[in-house]
Amino acid sequence: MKVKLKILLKLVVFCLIFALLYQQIESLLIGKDYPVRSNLNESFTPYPLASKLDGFYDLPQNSVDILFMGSSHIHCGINPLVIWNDWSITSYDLSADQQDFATSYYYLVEAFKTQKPKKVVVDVGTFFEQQQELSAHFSYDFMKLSVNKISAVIGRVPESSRLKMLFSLYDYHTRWSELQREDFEYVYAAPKEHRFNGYFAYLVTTPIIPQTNEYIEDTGELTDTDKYYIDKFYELCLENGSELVFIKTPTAIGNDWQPRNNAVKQYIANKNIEFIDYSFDDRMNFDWNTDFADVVHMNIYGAMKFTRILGEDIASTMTQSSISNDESERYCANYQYFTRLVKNYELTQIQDYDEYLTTILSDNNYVAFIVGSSNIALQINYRDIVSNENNQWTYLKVIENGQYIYDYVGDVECAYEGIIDNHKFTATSYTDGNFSNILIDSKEDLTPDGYGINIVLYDKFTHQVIDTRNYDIYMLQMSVG
Amino acid sequence: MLFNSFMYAVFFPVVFLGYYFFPTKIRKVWLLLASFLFYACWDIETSILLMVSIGFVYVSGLLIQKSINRRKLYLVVCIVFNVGILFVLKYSGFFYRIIQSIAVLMGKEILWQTDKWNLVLPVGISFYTLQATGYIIDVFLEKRDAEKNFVNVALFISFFPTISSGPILRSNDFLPQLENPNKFEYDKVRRGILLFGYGLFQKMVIADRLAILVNQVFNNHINYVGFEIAVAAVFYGLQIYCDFASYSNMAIGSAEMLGFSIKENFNVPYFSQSVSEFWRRWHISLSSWLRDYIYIPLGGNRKGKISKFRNLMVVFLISGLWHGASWNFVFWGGLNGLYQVIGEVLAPIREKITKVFRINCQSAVVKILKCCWTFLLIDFAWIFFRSNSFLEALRVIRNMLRCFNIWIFFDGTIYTLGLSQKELGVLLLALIVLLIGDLSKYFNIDLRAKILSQQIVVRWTVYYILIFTIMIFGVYGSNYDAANFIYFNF
Repeated sequence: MKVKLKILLKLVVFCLIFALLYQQIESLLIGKDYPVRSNLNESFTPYPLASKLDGFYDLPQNSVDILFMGSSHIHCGINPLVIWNDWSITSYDLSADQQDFATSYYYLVEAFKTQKPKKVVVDVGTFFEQQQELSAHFSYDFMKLSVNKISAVIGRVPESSRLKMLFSLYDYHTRWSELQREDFEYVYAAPKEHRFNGYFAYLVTTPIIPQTNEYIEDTGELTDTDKYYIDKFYELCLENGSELVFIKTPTAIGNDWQPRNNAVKQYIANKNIEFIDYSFDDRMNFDWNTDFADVVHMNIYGAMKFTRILGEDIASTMTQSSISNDESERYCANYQYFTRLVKNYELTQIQDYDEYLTTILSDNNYVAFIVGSSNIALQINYRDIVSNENNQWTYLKVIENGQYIYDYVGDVECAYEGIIDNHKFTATSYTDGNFSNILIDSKEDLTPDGYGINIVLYDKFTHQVIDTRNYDIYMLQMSVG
Repeated sequence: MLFNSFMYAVFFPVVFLGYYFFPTKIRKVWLLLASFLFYACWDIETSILLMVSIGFVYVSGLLIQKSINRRKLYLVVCIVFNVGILFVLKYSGFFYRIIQSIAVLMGKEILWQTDKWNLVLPVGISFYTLQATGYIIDVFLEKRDAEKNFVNVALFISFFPTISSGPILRSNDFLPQLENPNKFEYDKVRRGILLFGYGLFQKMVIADRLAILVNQVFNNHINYVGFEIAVAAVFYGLQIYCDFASYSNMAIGSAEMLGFSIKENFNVPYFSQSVSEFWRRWHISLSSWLRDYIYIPLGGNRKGKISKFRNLMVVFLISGLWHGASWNFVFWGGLNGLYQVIGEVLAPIREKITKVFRINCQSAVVKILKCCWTFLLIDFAWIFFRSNSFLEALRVIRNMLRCFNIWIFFDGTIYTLGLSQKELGVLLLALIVLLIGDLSKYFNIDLRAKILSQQIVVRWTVYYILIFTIMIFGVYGSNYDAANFIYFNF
């Protein structure tokens, strides 16, 4: 008996160590990213997919007053930092790509383990019978293993894919050949802060021709699954003392959802659930040329407008959030960070050389390295120097704190070396060869190495190189002239 | 139910716990039920055929023992019945095509077509037919008594670790083990787990990784030439070894965990210095079965050289046919027989050469060269085994000999055959582990005992490395079509 107990004990210890190792290896190998178009999130994390839920888990307890849930329409459409800035209310965007209504329920169960939100705002745009495998990975890969996760997987994932959701190494083990330094850094980083509180800042702009949004009276059908999860949502919020608000995010094709929305409205008529349909809200004042990434997803500008209207409806009546000073400072810093990223993005959209330089000079946080390649003489003699016999000229300028701190145009090789944020930048202009060097930490050459002027722009606020570009002045002048 | 499937990972622990939990009286019944469940997971209909076959063998055994005058008749009926099922299900199409070809040559038409019979080849039928036939012959030859306990016979034929791909059990080895109930032996269980784990490693990390390149090249052999095909052929030689040896290891390991001892099926075959030695080390349970029930009854090597060569060829042609109902398999078997016949014929010349040049046959270099030569011969024959037809095998060989493109190892072409540089790196490391395992076996070092005698930290480190190597570098997952073991097809 004693021997058997000893064996049993060994087995238990062996399994515990195995579980620990498995968890570490799975975290390392799990797919933390998926292909997404241009966005601001990648400036603070290479893994927008992973950081959303990880960031939520690492929030201080009971520090969120509004929770936003739903699919990508919420994911791209609501910016909690704007809500903080305008109303001092803390919130988190806990939506996910293709997160259907029922999956949102399991996310809410997860959220109530650490948070006591006063309001839970859910998009009712997505009702699916079951999740497809890919979207299920988006939803469940980063949910901590718990009874809730197992219930979610059983409830929402086809039987054939359930085990893969619980033991995702099955699908991700082949990533061993793709592992990067970032994978290791991410896994061992603590806490895993999501600097936009779950919001996905979409930069893509696509001009949209909106559908005529005439209100449709038709009422669609809700399935038993839909009704089941609406009831579950309601009960869960009642139990936890949270107010439940259903919304429909604005899109350019609002009519498509109308019959379903009407059915939801009808079903919740006797429940204490508010329903706000933003599909036909005139207050939005969208510019259909600039505010959308596609017909159903807002970009940063559309999201800004929508968040402000939503905040007016949801947050303006609430009392300001009571959070620690550290947390409050974090929100403020992140809002500034976000606005800074938007400014940087807008700067990178400027094409005109003079306007570009003027903007850089107007901001003390920008450091610009402007280096000419050796054929610069052919180009800049139109501007401010006269060609010498050999046409061998060098050109190097550095802007910092809104002024030129290095300015050389001549016929000998020149170089600038400076330390910014503990990084050594070295810029060199050569007399021979159509190239230039702008090195960071003597390793990575950032120059676009084009004809004419090459620029590398560093932002001391975000501590990032935010732009590298080339101006072929000669070609520009030739085409103008 | 594959050994490397999630289903088996649930099935086996339940069987294992039940086996040691239940009273000894019902353990055999428990194992029998488990075996039928294991088999029925593939196809319930064919498991009925298995039951019929078991019933027939059981009754025949008793009848042969009791009868005095009709012993031979019962033996023949039983063998015809068992082998007949195998023949109809596995070979009817093959022989139909032969008859059809002859009929066409004679200008006649055949009115029946086996293609329309929709015959399903039951998993493991080639294995359990031999097992059952061996038992019935042993009873007939009075090498053993007929088993009176039906459960014992049923379990002997359907024992789940071995039913689908062997090793082919021998009644005198296995049935006595059913008489004495196995006690839980911690060390035996640990040895079994380790062997099973090593088998998984061979299958998932090595064999299935090799299969990626092999399938890419063989399935598109028109697009490949020279060393591209040679590499695939060498890889196939390693693949089939790891694939089949892994199955045997997992089967033996599973049985060992349940307290049963099964003889090893592979004994480092690629370290053989001749083809005949290879066949004493490769698929030992089949080779010894063919030796005991066909080669020796035919006269073996007792009736002169010619008779020996004839018997060898017969055994190897049957072996080829047993592996598959196709000419390429028959040729493969014949080629292996021929290698041995030629080897024996040339033996005096070889001896003279070694004497004249004073070659020390015991030197390591000569041994290694002989191993390499044997591997080349065996591997060349594998091309016929791997190809879908005899003509395809000839096309593959023609493409292989068409070009001496040795540069594929230097210009990166080798990485375009289905395995990336990183994948090949992992494969190389895994093959080194395999080599270490085989070398220790060759020099009679019990690696498992060595590992199990280490301190707990070392032991567990080895376990975790083995488990996570399989989990990370194993070939499986959503994008992977869980390949059957190669020998399932036979």
